[in-house]
Amino acid sequence: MNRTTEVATALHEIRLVGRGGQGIVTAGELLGEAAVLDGRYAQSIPAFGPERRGALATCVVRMADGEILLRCSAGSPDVLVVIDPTIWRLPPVLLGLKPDAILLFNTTRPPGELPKRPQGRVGAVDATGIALAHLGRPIPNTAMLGAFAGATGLVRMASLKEVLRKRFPGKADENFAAAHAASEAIRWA
Amino acid sequence: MTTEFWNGNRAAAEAARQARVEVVAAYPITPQTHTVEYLSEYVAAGRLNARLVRVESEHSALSACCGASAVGARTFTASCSQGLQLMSEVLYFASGMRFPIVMAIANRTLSVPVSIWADHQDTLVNRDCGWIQLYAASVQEVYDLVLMAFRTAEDPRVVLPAMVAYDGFILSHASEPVETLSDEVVKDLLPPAPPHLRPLLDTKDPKQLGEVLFPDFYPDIEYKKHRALEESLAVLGEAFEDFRSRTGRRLSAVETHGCADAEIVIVGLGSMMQTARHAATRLRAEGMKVGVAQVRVYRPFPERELARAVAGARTVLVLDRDIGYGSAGMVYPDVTRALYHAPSRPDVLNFIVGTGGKDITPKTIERCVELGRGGYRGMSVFWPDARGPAEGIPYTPGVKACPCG
Repeated sequence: MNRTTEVATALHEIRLVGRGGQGIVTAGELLGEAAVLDGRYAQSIPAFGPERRGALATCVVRMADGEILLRCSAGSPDVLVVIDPTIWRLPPVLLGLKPDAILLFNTTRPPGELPKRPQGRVGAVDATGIALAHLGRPIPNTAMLGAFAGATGLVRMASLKEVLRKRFPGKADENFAAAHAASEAIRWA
Repeated sequence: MTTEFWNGNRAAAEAARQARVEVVAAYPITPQTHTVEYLSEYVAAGRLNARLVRVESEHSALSACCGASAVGARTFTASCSQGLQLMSEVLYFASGMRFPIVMAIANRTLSVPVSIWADHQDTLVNRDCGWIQLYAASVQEVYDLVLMAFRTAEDPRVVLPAMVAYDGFILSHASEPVETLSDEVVKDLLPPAPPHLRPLLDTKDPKQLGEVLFPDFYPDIEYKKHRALEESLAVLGEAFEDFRSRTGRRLSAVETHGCADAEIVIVGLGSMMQTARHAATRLRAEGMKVGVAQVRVYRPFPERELARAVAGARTVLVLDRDIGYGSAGMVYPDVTRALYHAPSRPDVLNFIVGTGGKDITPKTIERCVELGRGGYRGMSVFWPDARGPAEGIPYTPGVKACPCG
């Protein structure tokens, strides 16, 4: 970890979106921690209102090769990860994305029906189905992290495995199986 | 030294655990609540041998801390916003009776309108209650400053309570790498609370604290309290130096970046100063000589350090994440006072930004520089992220307010 760099280089901004109660904050923490295990610097800034289950919940994760000094939640994400299958039409979900941003949706819809940035890619993965198959519960956050790793290569699967082991000692294998399955189940538009 | 991926509340709680606090009394309030929840987990897991006192309000929380401190226990609490306001009366008791309590504060706006998000209004209105006030700009600083707060508060030359303030959500709930110290290193930094000369309650030697004082003696006590707080700046300096020698991490009352040759220096508290550094680097690349001076120790106010930091500047921009209604931002008068007698007195302008948790982005900072770079032109207080007023953003119905978003 390099704390001497004045401004972070190779800065990647990821927006995770879902609903309160779906583990959006946890997903952000896991992703940031995985990036740190990879030897990069990372921060995870959740943005939610007075805690309400089911309301829109977002989390900004930034990764870079040096210390990140940005302390704001607004930005222009390089990657959007939509963890809830029902909120992708809401305006804040797509706000400010880079023209070449990668968009990943948890959905059973064909990827061609999903929004897309002019120069970006869009991928669909049935993370809820995968979570049900591997965890027995419809909690798609760890599956979507696997899809993120598979789609972007911004964190190593091995690091993801490690942070899952740390966070869910009794359920690490199932969660990693879901992540791994999702990383191979992305349908690109 | 290991690196953990912690949020600000976790960093505050871990530092309090490593400080081996003996009594924790607190009342939950967003966004501070996790801090005390973590501590209760440590106690339940046997990682911390402390008495957690459950109370019915913040007023009682700080009162319980005062009682614990009165018998010599190392004492910790956490609060913010309305909770801190409810403590207000007891804040003065704690400093008047010289109880070295440490309080973590996840800064939150004061109601109404109700907001759970960050600004510095809650701690700044309590800046003059005789407590040391430290403001963190990162999660790392939350951890480091809680340790420094215990060390300085308990120093026999100080013996005053201390607050460590960090922006709610922006730091309290945000996770980032934190270099942690081993329990042993913290033990060396913070030996068991020394038996001070302060009076402690003792059943074998009964006494009363916080007595009535007649006017003839009152100024003497006030002067002593004021001087002790002033002198804590030097004690903090020693603590920072000892911390650097053990950890390699540098802390200072005022942290400067690019100030040596700066024509414009941005001054302020908290996490927005890191965003200001980010923006300043970009502005420098465009040829603008911008520096940043983060005020980390706010009470006592490091006036000499600040004057030195901005010595070469033509214009000083004070960013306040608060407003002293009817006057200006609350940090602004401290800065103008510090610079009034400076040899080359710069223009000092005030920018009210990020109140109620409004996002402070690099563009917000750039807007402040754009408004302030010309120096004083008949107006000293600007609201660059508010709709409506002449010094803010022109109000156009239906148009997104912040050009900084």
